[in-house]
Amino acid sequence: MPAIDLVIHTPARLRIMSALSALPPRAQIDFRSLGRSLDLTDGNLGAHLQTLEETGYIKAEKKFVDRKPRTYVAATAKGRIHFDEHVAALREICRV
Amino acid sequence: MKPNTANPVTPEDARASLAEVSRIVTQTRQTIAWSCTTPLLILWGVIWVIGFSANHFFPASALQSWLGLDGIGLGGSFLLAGPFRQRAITGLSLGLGRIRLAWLALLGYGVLWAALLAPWEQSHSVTWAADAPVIGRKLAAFSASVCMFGYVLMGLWLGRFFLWLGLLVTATTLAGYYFVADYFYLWMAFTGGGSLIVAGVFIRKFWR
Repeated sequence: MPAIDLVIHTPARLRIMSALSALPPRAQIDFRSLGRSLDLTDGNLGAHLQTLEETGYIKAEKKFVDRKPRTYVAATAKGRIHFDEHVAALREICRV
Repeated sequence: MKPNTANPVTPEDARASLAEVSRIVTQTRQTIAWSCTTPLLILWGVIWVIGFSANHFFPASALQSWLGLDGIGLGGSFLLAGPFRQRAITGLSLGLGRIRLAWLALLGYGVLWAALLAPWEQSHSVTWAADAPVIGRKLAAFSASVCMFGYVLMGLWLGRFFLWLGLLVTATTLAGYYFVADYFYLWMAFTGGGSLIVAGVFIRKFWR
C-alpha cells in the first residue's frame, strides 16, 4: 500500500505539487505566476518551495525574461513519482 | 530532508485533499489551454469564416484565398502562441515544442493526403466541371476534419472541452456536407468558424 508523504501532505505543498505535476514533463512556471494561481504570498511560497527543493521534489531555475530575473520552478521526476504515490495513498485511505 | 512517510490521515482528510488536488490540476490545465489555444481558436475561427465565405461567394479564387489565409494563419499562430508570448502572458514556460511539431506534422500530412487522394488526374475530363464542386466540398470537409482530429487528440490531454469541440465541429461538418451541400461553405463559415471563435471567447472569459 502506498504511504502518505508528509512533505507533500501539508496543504500548501500539496497544492504546489498538484500544480507542478499537472504541467507537461519539461514545463516550468515562474514563481510569481505560481503564487498568484495558488493564492500564496511570496514568503509562504518561497519557504515551501525551499522545502520541496531540499527534498528533491522540485527544481528552481533562474532565467532572464525581458532583461528581468525570474525564477522558474518545475517538478522533478522524483517529485512526480512521490506525488503520484501520495495521491494513490489518499485514494487507498478513502476506500478503507 | 528525508520524506516522512507515516500515515496519520483520516478518510475525511484524504477526501478533502483529493478534491483540492483535482481542483488545482484542472485549474492548471485550463491555464495551459488558455495560454496555448485561446488566441489560436479565435484567429483560425476568423480565417475559417473569411475563407469559407470566399469559397461560397468567389469560388474561382478559392485556392488563392486559402493559400493567403493559411499563410496568415501559420504566421499569426507563431506570433500569438510562440514560447515568448506564452511566457509573457502566463508565466509558463511549457516546453511544448513537440505539441507544435505534432500540429505541423498533422497539417503537413493533411496536405499530403489531400494531394494524394484528390482526383487531380480527372481535371482534364469532360465531367470535371460537374465533379469539381463535389471534390471541392470533399476537400474542405476533409481539411476541417483533419484539424478537428488535432483538437480531439489535444482534448485527450488538455481536457474534455477540446475533445467535445473537435467532435462537435466534425459532426457539423458532416451534417453540412451531407444535408446542405448547396450552402456547405457558408455552413462551414458559420458553424465551423463560429464554433472556434465562440470557444476561444468562452475560454478567455471563463477560464483565466
